Amino acid sequence: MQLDKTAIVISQRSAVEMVDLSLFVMRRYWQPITFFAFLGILPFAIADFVLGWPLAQYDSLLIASQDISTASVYHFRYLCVITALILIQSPFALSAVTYFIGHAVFIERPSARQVFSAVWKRIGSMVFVVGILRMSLLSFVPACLLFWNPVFRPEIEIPLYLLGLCGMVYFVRGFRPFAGEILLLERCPILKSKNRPEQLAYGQRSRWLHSSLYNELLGVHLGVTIVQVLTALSISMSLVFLIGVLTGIWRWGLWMDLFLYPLTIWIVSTWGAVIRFLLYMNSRIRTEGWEIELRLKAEAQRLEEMAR
Amino acid sequence: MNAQNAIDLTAVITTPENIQFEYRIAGPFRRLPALLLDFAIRMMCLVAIFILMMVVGATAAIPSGMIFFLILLASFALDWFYGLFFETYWNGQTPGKWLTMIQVISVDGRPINAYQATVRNFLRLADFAPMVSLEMFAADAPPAYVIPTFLVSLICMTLTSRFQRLGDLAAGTMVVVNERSWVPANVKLEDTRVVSLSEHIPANFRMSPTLAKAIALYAERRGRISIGRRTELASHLANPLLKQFNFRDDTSPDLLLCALYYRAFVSKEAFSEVKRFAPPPATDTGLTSKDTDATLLVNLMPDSLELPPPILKAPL
Repeated sequence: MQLDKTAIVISQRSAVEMVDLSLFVMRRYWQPITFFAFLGILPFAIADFVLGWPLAQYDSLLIASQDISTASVYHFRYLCVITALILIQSPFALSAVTYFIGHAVFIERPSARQVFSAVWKRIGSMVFVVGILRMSLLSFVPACLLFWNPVFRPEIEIPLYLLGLCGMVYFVRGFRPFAGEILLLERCPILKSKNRPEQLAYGQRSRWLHSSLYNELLGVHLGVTIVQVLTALSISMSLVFLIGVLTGIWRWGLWMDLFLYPLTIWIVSTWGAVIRFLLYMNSRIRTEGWEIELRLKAEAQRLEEMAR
Repeated sequence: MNAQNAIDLTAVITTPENIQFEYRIAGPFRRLPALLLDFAIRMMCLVAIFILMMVVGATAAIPSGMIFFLILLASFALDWFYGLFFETYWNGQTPGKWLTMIQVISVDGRPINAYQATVRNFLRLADFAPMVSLEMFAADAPPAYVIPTFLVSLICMTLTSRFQRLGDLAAGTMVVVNERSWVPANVKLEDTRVVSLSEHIPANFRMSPTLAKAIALYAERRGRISIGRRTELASHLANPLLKQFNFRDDTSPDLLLCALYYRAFVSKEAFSEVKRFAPPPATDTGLTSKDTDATLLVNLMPDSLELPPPILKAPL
């Protein structure tokens, strides 16, 4: 591996430049990113579709409901639930994309088998940190509860699910966004190993990497959220336009709700995984002088080769 | 994959005189605030014109139809000629672009002309596409396709290497960042032992340009990195160098790299080597002075070598 020869020029950039750069990264690696994203997303998308189905029966829910008088409330609630589920699940579902991009930076092209094998080796840590602590897998619990009893109860759903669960996950991810990168790319264990005392545990590494950048990370997280929301709106409305051209129906219909809108959110989440990796790279450059490390290591390799 | 293929936000332009310029290109999200600012300015102008017309209409005996026509005319002019006017006469910038420090230039690096400004601004509507109808939000709304999604321009910019939208492609323009380029900070070497250690570096040791750049980068950034991490970073390069120079193993890696920096960029030897690095005339090679190490030497030269008490504890 030539450490100073990278597929992305390693230098310090602003957050906006990172978002722009992510478009180029998506363009260069669109095939493997699509492949790994599709395989990672598929089980989650199927589960969300099944669990979301009763919530999309707006008319029957309206009849069953006593307090709600319009179906658009149920429509809006369905979109909120699906959006929240996808955003919470995406860091876990897109683990393979994160791993692939992390290696593609060093001009490596790991095979699908290598990627999934590496992710599988870290699955325990991923399940614990991203799946449980960050709710990616636990998000199925409220989804199942809504599946069994889909009638809208705003007094429970708004404070508990929307503000409580989603708000907590959003801000934890805002302050400490690089959990997947630390676990998958740096391979930090959950607990410090006695055999390898020099290796940092996940918690310690996460604190070191994030603590000096809390203010900035939260600001960038909010900014990226706005960009992603705008992009999701742009794609969704363009799909409505496309459906209108093809069918003559210019409304947001059931097709949009069940298939195209979740697809849009998954696409934006995949792009979000690429942005997050680039921001991780930038954070390491700023706090740890990563690009200096790569250059110095490369020069050291050259000196040693010359000495031989 | 060579370095030229590495993904980056720069565009290199070679002029007919064979001089290379490097521009930082502005992507869609860097350009978005400028678009919103220009939109806000246009709206404020329109509101001001509306108020002015109302006042004029109330004081002078102008028919209301005439006032409505004048407001429509002003709206049309602002929509279609605002960008064209400013980009033509203000060096490729509109007020929004000026505030966000971006600028439109030709793909060959020259300022844009009126024709290019016209083409790129008139094709703006195509870049807003697909436009969504108001019917999407209310069934009884008129079928007016007025809500832009910008998806065409986003896809177009992603697919071109210079983030060009349709208007840019047609006009042969691109949008670049107009900020002052990165200037290396003055490096302050605070330890007096740096100078004495640099004198112990073998006289026949010659740094390659890549090694000099790596050390310059380290020296410039080390002040913002914690001392522990600094030592860890410097060790990567210092360890083989310590062996090569036959220095003691407990020599501070950070001090050694600072000494190398001093030797390469500050000491008398560095000045005597400037000639060796000095570029041939640009007309012969096509190289600009910024591509050479001679400029790097000058840029990184500290204003003064400050000598406070030593802070590095490791012995020499």
